[in-house]
Amino acid sequence: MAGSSALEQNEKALHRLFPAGLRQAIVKVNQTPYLPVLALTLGAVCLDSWLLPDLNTVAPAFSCGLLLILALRSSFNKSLSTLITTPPIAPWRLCCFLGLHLALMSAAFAGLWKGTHSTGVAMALAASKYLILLPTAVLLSRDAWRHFDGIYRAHWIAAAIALVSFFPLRIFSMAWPWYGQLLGRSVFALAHLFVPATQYVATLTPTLVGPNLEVTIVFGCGGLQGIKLFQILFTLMLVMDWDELNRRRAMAAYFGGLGAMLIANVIRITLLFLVGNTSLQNSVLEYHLTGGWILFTLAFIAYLPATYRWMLKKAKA
Amino acid sequence: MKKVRLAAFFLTLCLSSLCAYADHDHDDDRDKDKHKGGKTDATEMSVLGLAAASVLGAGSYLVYRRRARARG
Repeated sequence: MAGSSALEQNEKALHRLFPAGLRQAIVKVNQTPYLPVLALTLGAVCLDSWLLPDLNTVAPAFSCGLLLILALRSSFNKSLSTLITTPPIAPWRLCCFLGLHLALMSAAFAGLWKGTHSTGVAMALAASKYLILLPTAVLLSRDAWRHFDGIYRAHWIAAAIALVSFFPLRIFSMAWPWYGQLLGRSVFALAHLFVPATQYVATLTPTLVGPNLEVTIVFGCGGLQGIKLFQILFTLMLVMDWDELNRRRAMAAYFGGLGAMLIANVIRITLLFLVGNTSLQNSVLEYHLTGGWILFTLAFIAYLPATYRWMLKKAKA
Repeated sequence: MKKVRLAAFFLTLCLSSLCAYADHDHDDDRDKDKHKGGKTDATEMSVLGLAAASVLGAGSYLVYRRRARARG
């Protein structure tokens, strides 16, 4: 009861200061369960990332941000009576949280993530960058985390998928020796149908030799930009339609979309090669980056009608 | 409800743009010297291209979503 009267007082105070819509929004934001924990984590991760570029903590920041936005969105969809106010974070937990972040920052300043290492050590160090999320564990008790899991299970699973799959630069770097060959051979197989004189040179950066133009497929042509675009657009879709989505189907559509973008990339390079071997060679050289973005956008627009209705809950029946 | 969705939409767009901007230093610099696309270099093209493609893709999604809901 004390909690509800405090809430009423807050609402009355807000009533004098803000218009109705904004007032209601502020109350809902304040009543988002575990909002301080999520906001603190996002703030700390962003601050670490800003102060220590060596950490390259884009994926953790993106993941935390997604979790916070989904949590806020869920709060806005529930009536006030069903929401739970979060107990305040104990000062000692807050001190531990800040202390652990300071320790991580000290390790980064000391050069833990700098320098060149063997593949195994480099992989371990890259994985250890996710430690940036570990201090959050001390902010709540075990029971509170269980409760958090009960409220936000689907939300944190989505955030965890974003954490391990957002902009997979390292996975691409590791896979490039064989993925580059697979990409090169796929482009060659398609291009050979239209330009029979095409030759394939199998190096680390595969080269297709045509009558008028040689195309070397460097790491930057691997389709990572298309994947980033798809991930951004899919995140927007996830936020907009979170309540109506069939979560399992959405996950399948997400990974299917990543595959679709890689296929779109094969088509992109093939088209560039084919057009480049006509009189439009100079245009291809000048506009191939812009053309790539247009093709990736078209690929997303084509993928959307194929999966959107299927992902919605109504389609389940 | 529409306002909430719109706010969530733009918040996510801002977050994504910030992340894209934050990591373009890491992923594009290596290819900076390999690609030259017209008047701007690959890094600028990458950020501008991603921004334009995101807006175009998001707009297409919103239009498709509205139509899909209108059809039921």
